Amino acid sequence: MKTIRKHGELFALFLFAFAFFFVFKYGPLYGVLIAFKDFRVVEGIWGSPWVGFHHFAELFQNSDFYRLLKNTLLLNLYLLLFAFPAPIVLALMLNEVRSRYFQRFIQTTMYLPHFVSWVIMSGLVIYFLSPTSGVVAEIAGWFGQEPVFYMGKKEYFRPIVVVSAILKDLGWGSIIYFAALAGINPELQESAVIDGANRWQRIWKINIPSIMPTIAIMFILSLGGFLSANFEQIINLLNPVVVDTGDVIDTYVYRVGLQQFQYSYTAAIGLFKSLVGLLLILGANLTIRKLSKGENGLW
Amino acid sequence: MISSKWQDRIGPILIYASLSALALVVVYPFIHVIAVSFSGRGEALRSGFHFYPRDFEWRAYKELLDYPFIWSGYGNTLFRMAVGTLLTLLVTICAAYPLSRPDFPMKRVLVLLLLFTMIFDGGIVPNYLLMKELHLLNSLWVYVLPSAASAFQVLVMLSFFRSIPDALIEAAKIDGARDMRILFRIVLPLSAPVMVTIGLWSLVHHINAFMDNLLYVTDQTKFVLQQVVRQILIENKLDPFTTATNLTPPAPESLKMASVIVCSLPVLVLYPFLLKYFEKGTMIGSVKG
Repeated sequence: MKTIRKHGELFALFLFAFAFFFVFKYGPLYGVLIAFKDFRVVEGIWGSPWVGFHHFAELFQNSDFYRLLKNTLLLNLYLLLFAFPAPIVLALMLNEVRSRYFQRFIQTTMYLPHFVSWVIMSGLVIYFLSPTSGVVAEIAGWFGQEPVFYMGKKEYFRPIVVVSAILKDLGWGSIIYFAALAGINPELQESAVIDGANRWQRIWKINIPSIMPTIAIMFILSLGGFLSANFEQIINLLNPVVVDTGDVIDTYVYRVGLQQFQYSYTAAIGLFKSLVGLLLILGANLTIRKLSKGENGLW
Repeated sequence: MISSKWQDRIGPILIYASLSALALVVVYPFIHVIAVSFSGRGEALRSGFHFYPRDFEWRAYKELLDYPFIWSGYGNTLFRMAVGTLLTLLVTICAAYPLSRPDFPMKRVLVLLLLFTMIFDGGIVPNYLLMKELHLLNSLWVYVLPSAASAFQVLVMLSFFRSIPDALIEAAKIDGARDMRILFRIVLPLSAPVMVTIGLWSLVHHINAFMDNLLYVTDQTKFVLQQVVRQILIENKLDPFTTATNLTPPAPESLKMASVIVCSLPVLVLYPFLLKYFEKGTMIGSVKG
């Protein structure tokens, strides 16, 4: 009680701020209950009857679920394989550029797409890939290819998502690695040059190991959103023709849950996704801590 | 020795060439968009590259600016930018300042409570039901209230507040200053860099956000700019522009590209500031919590 009186003002400030977190971040946890209930709008969340794990059982028997899971996992795996290392490569390349002016120019242009919304970005992707007026079809034409309706082909959907994700955040993502590279002790580089190391050897033996802690942290952070597969991007790129490969958990929950009112069933899918995401981030942190003997990791 | 000389020369050439190619891939679309948005009908429909407008006309912009929802969209977006950013800063300061004081109790538990909100998310449906219970559906407040609570931003501000020398605060305390006075007279005046960074993060979030609109708002007069442009650009809702009285409507391509420009204007205006402050901000954010 004494501490509360002593810090009355501080408590008041914190309570005001925490109210927002309590309502908007912890509040949805109450709504998660409907995954275990048969939710009826008139009876409300609490009044609806309990059904236990009925929705989960239904989920695991539904072939839709395995399609969604496969799409979500594959898409995120590709993003992790290609979109995660891309900014590291860009930072390593920028670090080799001697001209400060050129470096600045590349950075200034490459940051721009990060600030453009996914609405605009996806709209432009669709426009540039169109078979009639698109520039990509024009370039493919130089190599004798017939115009293709890229957005309407199932097999192109994942590459399109991965490439547009790379283009959007390549420059932005490189900032943190570039700064880490700038922090390397120059004496390391100088002594390597004296010992006769060439560019490749310096990059592999000095630069990459030096930024490994940063890479580890960014890796854990990106696993946190692993199953969330950029909803903003996919909802804009998705069209009914490519649902087979393009439909992910979030887009399905939005369509079937909010537009077809199957609240309980889709809440169960959402909860499954959140739990897997939580396990992934905890697991990744644990693994990286073990591998680096407690030096790296988020906590 | 010879092979390493050869490598020393080919390496930089490859690096400069691929970086230039990347920059071209990013810059060209913007040139193309501007060119098509100002081009006449025939030119806008022509396939291939566009480097500058031909048959110059701004009818696409005129049509777009005559469309009432562009204006209401701009209004709603400006509302959420102004109110949302102020509220975000207020909530973030109120959470970070007490946690930055060494003698505030239960700090560890409270920080963990905040951290948990970063790694667990209730999901789309529970969030929707919450907004419904709070009567925030189809209200402008749904744009600004939930996004004010960002644990990441609290942690960034917290690490900045902690870097302020304790001696300054101790000295003020000895002079009899209370907690609020210390906040307004010492902590906030020293925190301009972190305020600008988080303020800009929030501004950019509010310019580009459309998911909350898509999920919670169906009243078209309350749509934000992104959602209005989304209907034109992605859902191809062009019928408001092809009315019977308009005998020669601009090409759909021009309209779409003009909508891209109209929609990106706020970000383009802010871009020099973003460049100046964002890089540093990312560095503040990378401080290990």
